[in-house]
Amino acid sequence: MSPKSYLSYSAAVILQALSNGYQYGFDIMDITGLPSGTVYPALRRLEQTGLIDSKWERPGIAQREQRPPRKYYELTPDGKDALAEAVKRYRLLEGVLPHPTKVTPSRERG
Amino acid sequence: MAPPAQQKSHFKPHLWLISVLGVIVPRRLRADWRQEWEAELRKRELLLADWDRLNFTTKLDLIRRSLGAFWDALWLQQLRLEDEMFQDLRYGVRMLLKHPGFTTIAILTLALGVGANTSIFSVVNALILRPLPFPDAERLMWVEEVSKANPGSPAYGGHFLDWQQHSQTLDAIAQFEGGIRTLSGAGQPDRVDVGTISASLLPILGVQPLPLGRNFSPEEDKPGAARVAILSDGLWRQRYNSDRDIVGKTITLNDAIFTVVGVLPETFRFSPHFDVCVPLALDPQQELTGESRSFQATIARIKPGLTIEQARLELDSLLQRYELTRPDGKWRFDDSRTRLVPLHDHLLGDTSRPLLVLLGAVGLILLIACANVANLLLARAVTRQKELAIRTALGASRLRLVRQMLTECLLLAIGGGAAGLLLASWLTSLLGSLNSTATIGEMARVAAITIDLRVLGFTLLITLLTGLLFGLLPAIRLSRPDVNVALKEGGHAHGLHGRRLRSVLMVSEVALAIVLLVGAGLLIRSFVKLLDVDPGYRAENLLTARLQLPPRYSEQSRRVQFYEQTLRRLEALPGVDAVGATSHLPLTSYNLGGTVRVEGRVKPEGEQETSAPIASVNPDYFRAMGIGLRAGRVFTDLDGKDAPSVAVLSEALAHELFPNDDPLGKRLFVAAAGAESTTVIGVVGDIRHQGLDQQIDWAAYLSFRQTPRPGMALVLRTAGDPLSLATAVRAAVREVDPALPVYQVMTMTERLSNSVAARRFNLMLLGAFAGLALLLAGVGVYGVISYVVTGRTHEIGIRMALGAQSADVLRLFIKQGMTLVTLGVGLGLFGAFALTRVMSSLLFAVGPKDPLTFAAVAVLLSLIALLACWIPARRAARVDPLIALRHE
Repeated sequence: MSPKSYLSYSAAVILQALSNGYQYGFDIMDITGLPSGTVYPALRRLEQTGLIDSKWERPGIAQREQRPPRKYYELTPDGKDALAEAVKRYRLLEGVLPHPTKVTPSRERG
Repeated sequence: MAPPAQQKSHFKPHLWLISVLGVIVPRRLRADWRQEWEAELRKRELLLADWDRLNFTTKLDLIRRSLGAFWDALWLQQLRLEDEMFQDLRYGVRMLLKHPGFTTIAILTLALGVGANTSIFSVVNALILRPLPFPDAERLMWVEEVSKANPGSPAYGGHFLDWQQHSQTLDAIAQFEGGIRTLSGAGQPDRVDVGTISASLLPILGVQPLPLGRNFSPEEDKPGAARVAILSDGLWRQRYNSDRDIVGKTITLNDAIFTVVGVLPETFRFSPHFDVCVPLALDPQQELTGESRSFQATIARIKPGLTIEQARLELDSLLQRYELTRPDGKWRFDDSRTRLVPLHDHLLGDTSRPLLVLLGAVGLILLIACANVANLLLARAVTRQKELAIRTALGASRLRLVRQMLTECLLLAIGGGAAGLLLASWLTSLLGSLNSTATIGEMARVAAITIDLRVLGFTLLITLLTGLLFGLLPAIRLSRPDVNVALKEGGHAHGLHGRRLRSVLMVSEVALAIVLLVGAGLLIRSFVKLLDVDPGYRAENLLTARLQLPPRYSEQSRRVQFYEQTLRRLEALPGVDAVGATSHLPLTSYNLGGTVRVEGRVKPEGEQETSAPIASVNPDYFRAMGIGLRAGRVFTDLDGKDAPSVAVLSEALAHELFPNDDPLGKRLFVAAAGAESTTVIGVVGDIRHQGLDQQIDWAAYLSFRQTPRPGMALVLRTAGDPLSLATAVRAAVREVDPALPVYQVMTMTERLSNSVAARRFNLMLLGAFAGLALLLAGVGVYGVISYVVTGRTHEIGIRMALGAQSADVLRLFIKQGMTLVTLGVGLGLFGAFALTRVMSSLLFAVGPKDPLTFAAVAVLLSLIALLACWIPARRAARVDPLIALRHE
């Protein structure tokens, strides 16, 4: 059974947000407008089905800001396929979310 | 950026929430989870401003976000379950595979329990729980007429026609009657079951449309209509090779020609069984005037929403109104009332009692099996005590240990359940093949014993319940090992509590086994007593066969001629000592009873005339059957048509009619012998016509030459195996009349055996269950005593070192075991005393509290238990003290 067939709209929006470069849970909440009680379980489920991966940011940044390291999420190749599939279904998906203007965390990490 | 010290000085509800919520997150995820949320919240805080400078709305937003963590934590709960459950399962499987002996015995024990329960439940389900295979079966009623003189009989045809026309409470009503007729035409003549049915019967049973042809039309169900017939699927396939063009063809029944109009569906099951159906075609006028008197079985479907009582009241009032319209005559039913019984209950008859007893018995078996497995678990737990103690010491919670052990038990239960289901599928097909009207009554024709969804559900339920039952006690008991003791004793802690629990289990096993054994013992005693009953004739070396002369033998002289010729041929057969012929073969149903009145004696008003079966027999019948002559003489060849009418009475009837006189030479009026009186010439021994468990029947015998009947049975007393003569008998009859079928050719012993088939069936099942219980109880006792012996090896060593002899040790353990056994036996006898009451109706000549059975069972089980104690005790007695002292 392909996980794609189970992709709900909110899951698709979260994938789209990740694809647009919003990689932290709270950023995703901000951009999608979904509450944390929706975003986090959705992220867990997407991770469990292998559509996204999670990593901890480098401790350096966190130390500088005197807080624990944040967890960020990335699309896996499967996740990219699933998103492409979802875009076909929800035509407006691609346009709803803006691309971030600030530097993406991955580059910041770099 | 604020310095850390300043940050810590504030209470931040959002961060506090995360650390609190983290508690419910599965432990292995907890740290990561807390970190992820805290990092996000702190980052957000930093992006905004210092906490102090945040406005209220922003603070609220942070709290709202952190509250979302609750849903996140909640979602993660499933991982916890999946995780630990999987872990438990994997561990459980590993533990079970590590002890294949234990696992096999436990699964086999459970399989026996579950298998027995499932198969008996499949019978209960088929017969009692499942509705009849007819649409709206709960509205189908069996209708009977009752009166002061009549405890219940088929309904009068006239009443049926009137009800059919006028009833407002019934949807439909139908009558039918079973009979046997000779089917001739293509192939061998055959005796077939013919249902004479009203056109309404098949629709009422939901048989519509027919796969081939059609039902009888209302016109065909009237007198004088063309003769039509419907064939059963079986007959159509066997005799007519599934001829698709059968409709329109003709068949011959008792020399009359019928046109086939239809074939019944393959799935049609009804009791009685019909090979062929023909219309009942009652004549309303003749029924009304009493010219025709017919009584048939009646089935009605009451309208939805009405009660049985409402329908009964209406049928009663219709019946009374009908009787008022009838001309005055001899046959009236003014005092008749109707009785409506749900068809299901009627067909079930008295079968439900033995079934429920059996269900109770298998329930006990399952309990014993549970107790046994619980004992095994406790025994094994001794070796696991150390493992559990280590796990507890390492921080496993008690709940977790209980769950782990319950998981193992459920695995065992599921294994046992699966094996039990396999066993049950075999047992059920065995029961299905034993399923006959002789063993479980009329329902056998209607209900198919199969494993359906309900049976599977039942199996699943008892499997899970047993898993809990045998698992919970040991699990709770073991989950609180005393860590210190267990670790110190190196895995050989024999807690007092565990020993007591095991003793309780053993006592209950013994008690349950006693209850079952008493039940089976009572049935065995009944059966033995039943077989000891003297039927009044000698059944061995007796071949019986039945004949029914068709209407072309309506002249009496032709009947006599036929039977004389046939008997002569049979007498000439080698190996035949005597040949009898009777219209009333013992163990077959008959309806030719009649009144017997002494000439010149008038019964007081209100007293019933004496009524008895009146059989027509040939002179040699008594000799062939082995019925002894008590006084006078039996018939001779001279007691023919033109000789004076003579009768022979059975002893009991002679005593009833002439309590103080010599019956010989007295004159009687016998209903079947015509208007003239008949002289008593002899008295013969009594027989039990209806079966060994029935009362002695009165009987009057007439000479077959004076009252020849169309239906007779042949009885051949043979020198050797009676069945070897079967072909010769058929051939002899065929020589006299090639178109006449000989049916039910079987030995008298077989008939007797069939007549007790239901009792034997119950006995076999309950006996097998009791044997199983005995075995399980024996194993249980053995298990407990060997456990005790193992636990006390060290002590034995000391005792023997101090001078105890082997015999002392042997006595010690046997005494300990037998004390418990005696307690169990006592409790069991007490339980049996209370429970065997439910079996009263299944017993014969034995009371439900038969002291001999109770004593025998107590002794039997005690002996088995003694053996089960002796084996481990002997092992203990042979212990070498030196080895025993080193034993830890």
